[in-house]
Amino acid sequence: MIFTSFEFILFFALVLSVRSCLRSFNAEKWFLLAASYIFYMSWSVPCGFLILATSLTDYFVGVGLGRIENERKRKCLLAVSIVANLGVLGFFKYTNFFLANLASGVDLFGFHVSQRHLDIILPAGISFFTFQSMTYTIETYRRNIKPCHSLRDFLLFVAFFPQLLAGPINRAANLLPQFAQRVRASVQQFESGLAQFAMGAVKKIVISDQISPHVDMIFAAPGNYDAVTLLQGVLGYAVQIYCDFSGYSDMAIGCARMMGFHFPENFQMPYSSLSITEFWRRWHISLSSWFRDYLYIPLGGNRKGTARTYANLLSTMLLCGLWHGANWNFVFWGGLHGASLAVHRAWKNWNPLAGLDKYSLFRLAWSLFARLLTLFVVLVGWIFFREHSWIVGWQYLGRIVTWNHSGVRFMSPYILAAVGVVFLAHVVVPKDFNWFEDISKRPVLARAVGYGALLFFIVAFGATDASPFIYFQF
Amino acid sequence: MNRIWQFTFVLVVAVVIATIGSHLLIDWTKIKTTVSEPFVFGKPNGQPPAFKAGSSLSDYDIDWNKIAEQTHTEIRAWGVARGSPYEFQQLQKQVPQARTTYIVISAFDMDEANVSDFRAALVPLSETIKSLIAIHAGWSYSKRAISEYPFSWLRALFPTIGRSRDIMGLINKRIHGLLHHSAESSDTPAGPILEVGKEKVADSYRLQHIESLSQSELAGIIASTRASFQGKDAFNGQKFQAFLRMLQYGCERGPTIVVVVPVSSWYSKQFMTSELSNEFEGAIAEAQHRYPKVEWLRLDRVAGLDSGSNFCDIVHMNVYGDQKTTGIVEAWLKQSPHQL
Repeated sequence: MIFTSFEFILFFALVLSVRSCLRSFNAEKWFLLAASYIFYMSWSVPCGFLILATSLTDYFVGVGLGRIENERKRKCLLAVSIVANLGVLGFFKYTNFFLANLASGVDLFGFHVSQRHLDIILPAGISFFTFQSMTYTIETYRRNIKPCHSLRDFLLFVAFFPQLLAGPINRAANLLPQFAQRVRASVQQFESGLAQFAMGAVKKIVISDQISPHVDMIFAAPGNYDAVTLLQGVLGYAVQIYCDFSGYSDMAIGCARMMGFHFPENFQMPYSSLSITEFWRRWHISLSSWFRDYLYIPLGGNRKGTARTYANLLSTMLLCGLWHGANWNFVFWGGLHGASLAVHRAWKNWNPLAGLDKYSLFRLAWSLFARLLTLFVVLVGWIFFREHSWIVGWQYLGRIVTWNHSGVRFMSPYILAAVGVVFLAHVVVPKDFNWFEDISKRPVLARAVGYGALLFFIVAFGATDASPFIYFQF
Repeated sequence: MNRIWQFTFVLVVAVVIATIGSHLLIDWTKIKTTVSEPFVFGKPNGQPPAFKAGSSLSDYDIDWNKIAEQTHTEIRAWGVARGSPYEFQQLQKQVPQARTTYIVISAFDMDEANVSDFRAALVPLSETIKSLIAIHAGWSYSKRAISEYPFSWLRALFPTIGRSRDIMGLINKRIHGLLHHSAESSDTPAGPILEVGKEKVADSYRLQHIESLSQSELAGIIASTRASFQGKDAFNGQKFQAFLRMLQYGCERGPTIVVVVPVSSWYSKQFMTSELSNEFEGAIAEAQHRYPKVEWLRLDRVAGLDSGSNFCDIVHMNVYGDQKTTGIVEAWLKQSPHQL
């Protein structure tokens, strides 16, 4: 059941209707919990029991952390939660990766071991709900939040359907209190949520799904195409993944807001960033802030000297890469971003051009250069992110860098149009502008025309053969 | 104005704006939104008519006016874009007096992943549900088959819904035409709209051959075709069952001829794996076994007919291919002792 399907529209309409009829707050929460599990089990019934098991573990760990004062015992309890969550994640996501690399490693020493591949089905959204659940035990351990004593509320926090499959990753401190008192969306909130949902649908089915066949074709055989086509392919993929994932996030946030819940924003015009550091403050914000707060800072952050800061940045991003998928290309992608973050940090500390900032012409030129450089790093990263073999990734990059003329030149008008629209929006729209909150305050006619335009784009240019969201695989 | 009324008003106006836009777009692109009126090839001569079922491929590949002339029979047909036996089984019942039945199929339109826009408009929902139960269809396939119906209902308001790839292809063609003062290329999956049954015009599209297309255009056509296919390619689902029902209905009334037209070698290379080819052949063998009275003309087995020089896109034949296949059909009809 994906957000752009008829089943979801029916499901969501039913959830809204039944919820509005329920008089008891407890009944409402039980209903939302049941709806969330039905939503998840529509993907896979056994995986529903997995999410239940990990939620129960964290719930009881949380209760224990609330009762026990002994620091050593508290640490042990936290370790139980972390091992359980990462163990489940590791088993489902990394077992085959580990076995394949173990066999290759042993092979290097002259021992031949046949590679084993286990048929493990990756539960949808596992990377998201385990990380979300871990925010609860870690924050409870740190005594930043009080343990949740309602099992039902905790199960709902982990499995709440709008954010279950691909985030945004909600912090326990943000979402759990919203289940403590009854919330109802005002008409203005509902309208703003609906607008955000519609905008997400436009990004997903009008842009991402329409260009994906052409992008897929280029990435499937990069050796067949010339440099211009390959450049178009990587720009197209940058737009595809942005519209796919930010579109999903918009729909999730919109659904939650239509019910009166508040989720944090997950994307803020990332391609207009002036540095790779800024890019990670604007791209998949809930994940990057998770890694910052629960990995980078505990590793020492920038508090233990320059070399350690760079090492922390690199190791955090390597793990962020590995989080995305059990493949070396994701590790390389993470490494590239980690190294770029370290280089940017070093530049900020050194910056011999700092004195030129007083000249407006220099500031303008520098801002343009910085945006293009950031975009270049991001685009190079996307090649390795998209290509599952990093040898092919290098070939792809090599053919662009050497401006290879051999091969087919395929100019896709859809990719070009989508790239034009998305990058123009990144240039024109102010970076931190949240139009979803703004639009519902506009005059009636402006809103009607705006929503009419969104609906027109969906019914005229929306792909009905909607493919699953890219981030579901993570 | 009360906030709820204001919001309702905004939504109603938004729907009206989108509806007007959707109708205007259909009007501009001239995409067919209804099944064509029945058309008659040849002249009525007091004899029972023949019925011809087949997608646009049948009209691109064979000149039915010539066949009607040669057999002295009036042939009745409908134009259903991307139509397959699943849609034509409904139209077959509208010509119960037909004696001869021609069913034109290919690996393109028998593929279950290739769904006609007009499926829900022609086949009642109850019949689709029965057919899904009969073939023990899985949930994902059933979901896709049934979701065609809400789309068809929504099309009363928004006729563009579910037709985005054709619309974008035609807009692209219009813009290309405006820029280059011609409209020679198209990357809509089904090619241009053919006025079924009307006198064939050898327009620039029907005169071109695949080799004359740029590699970019060809890549675009392949990508669009691939995107328009939904779900897994297969030849043993609803379409095949409908095909068997059509054969039975046809055999009960008189001679039934199945013409298997070729797809281009480009299509075969991109879409027909050896496994799929075997499945297609297996389906044909089963149909031949079940209805031995049916006569088969395998144009897809004629050497060289699938060459790119005979096709104007990856599935439709150009005028040169049309002349060749029509000649073969005419010769076959002369030689065989058919009782048409």
